[in-house]
Amino acid sequence: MHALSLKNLKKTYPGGVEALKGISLDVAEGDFFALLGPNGAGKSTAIGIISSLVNKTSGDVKVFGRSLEREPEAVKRCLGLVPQEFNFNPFEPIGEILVNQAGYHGIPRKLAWERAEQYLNQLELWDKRRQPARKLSGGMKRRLMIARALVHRPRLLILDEPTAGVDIEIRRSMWEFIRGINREGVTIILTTHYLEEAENLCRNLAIINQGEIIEHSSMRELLTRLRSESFVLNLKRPLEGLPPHEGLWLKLSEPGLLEVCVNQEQGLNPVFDYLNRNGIEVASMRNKQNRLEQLFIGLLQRDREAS
Amino acid sequence: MIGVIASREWKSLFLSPLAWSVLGVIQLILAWIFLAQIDTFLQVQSRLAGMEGAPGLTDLIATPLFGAAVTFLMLLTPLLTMRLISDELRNGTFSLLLTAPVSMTQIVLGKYLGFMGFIAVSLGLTLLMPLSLLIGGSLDFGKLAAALLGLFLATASFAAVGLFISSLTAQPAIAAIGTYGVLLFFWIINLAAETGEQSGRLFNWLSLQSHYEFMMRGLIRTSDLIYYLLLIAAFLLLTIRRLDNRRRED
Repeated sequence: MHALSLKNLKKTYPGGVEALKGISLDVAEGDFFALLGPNGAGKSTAIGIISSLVNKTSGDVKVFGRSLEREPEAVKRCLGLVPQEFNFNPFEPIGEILVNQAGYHGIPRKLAWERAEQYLNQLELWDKRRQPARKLSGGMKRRLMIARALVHRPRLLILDEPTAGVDIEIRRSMWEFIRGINREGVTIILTTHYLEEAENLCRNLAIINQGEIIEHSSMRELLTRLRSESFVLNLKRPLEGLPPHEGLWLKLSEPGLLEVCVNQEQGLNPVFDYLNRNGIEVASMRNKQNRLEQLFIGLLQRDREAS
Repeated sequence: MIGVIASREWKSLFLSPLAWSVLGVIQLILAWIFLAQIDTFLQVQSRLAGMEGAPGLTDLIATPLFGAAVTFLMLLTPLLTMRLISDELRNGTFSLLLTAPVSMTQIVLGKYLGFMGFIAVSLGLTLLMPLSLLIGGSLDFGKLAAALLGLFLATASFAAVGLFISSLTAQPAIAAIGTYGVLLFFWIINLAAETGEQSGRLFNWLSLQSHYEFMMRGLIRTSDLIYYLLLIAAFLLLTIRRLDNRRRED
């Protein structure tokens, strides 16, 4: 059974703007799925429809086999949403925020407090349970939003930019927490502009552009399509110029910085052979661009050219 | 589920500094009026003692107090109802209710009942003032109950209007001004009833004031009860429709 199934989903806003032009998508149960796309592509509209915030124009939405149209309350019970914007009463204590959210899902207060304790502890917020939400830092607010979305134990969790504006340390701890939730069997749909985040966390993905899905595959399959990869090498000693390098794409962007582009069949060995032959020592090396980012930009460009 | 939403609304009102301020201002002004009425009563008490069927404490103190309370509540209710939905629309917290397994009717009724719970606290505190007169005198409980019912129904209708206007905008200040406009319209609509024509009688029936006055005199008429219940139901239904339509437009 699919955790989420969209069939020919369309949304036209008053005024005639077509946000979704009939997208179809299946997300398997237990998957960690990335829904990617540029701003205004239709991601938020799709999430809005799935989570009952926006009415669809036509098409079908099923969550764990239940139709959103026919059984909206059953669908809402399966679903947790972490929206992009902070949306809580700033004066409400954070423990109460979670308990009230559980209350909306019919969870008794005692059980709600037990769950609130569990998630707030896991997200290192339990000590702050009596503090009003406005007193939390940005990172804490993000974690509060995740705890709130989990308090009714949803089977499908939608994370809309969950780590926006969060420092790298907290972001990585949030990734670990989210991975743990996924390991427990919760299906996760992630939208993010940090493509490194999607590459690290997600197993499958869809890319949406101008209201249409332009890519729907597994992360592994998509990354194998990357024909070439660019690296930046920090050289131990600055160079004035490069010795002849036929058959290799090399560019000295700064005296101590060498850009290398290799295709998949070629690999990096010929580059290192060349560097050894010429006595060029490398201090460190990094990817010039995130691999998914490279593919993402390529796909969008191709889509733009085609349309 | 309505209970959960109502309870959350009730609690969140008490978390808001604005609600505490309004509650404090209402009680302060009404306490002042109450003391002024007692003062007036004490001045005429000796003359009343000799009269047969003279008005008592209920007529001279409790009823005028409740009469004043209606006016103040009409002025202050929009300040509280303005945030019921529009503030949530502005903060994005309304989406929590939309994504929860509750219907729009449950959301609207929960919010309305939560707010009425707050009003009940305010009216309870107001009621303590006339009840304190029992220490040194007696009250006509029938009249007192009728006046209290009138006050409650009038405030309930102010709240229903306020809730609807609050659902129209994400700007609380605009919601408050809009509610003042509608309430004042319903308050003074009977000014047009002076003509005595058919339409005049209709305007008189539509006026919030004309129905409330009978209850202040201790008279509970079915037509007045129906008027208030219809008004409340109509505005609650309009709120449900408006919020459903809003989701369609989004």
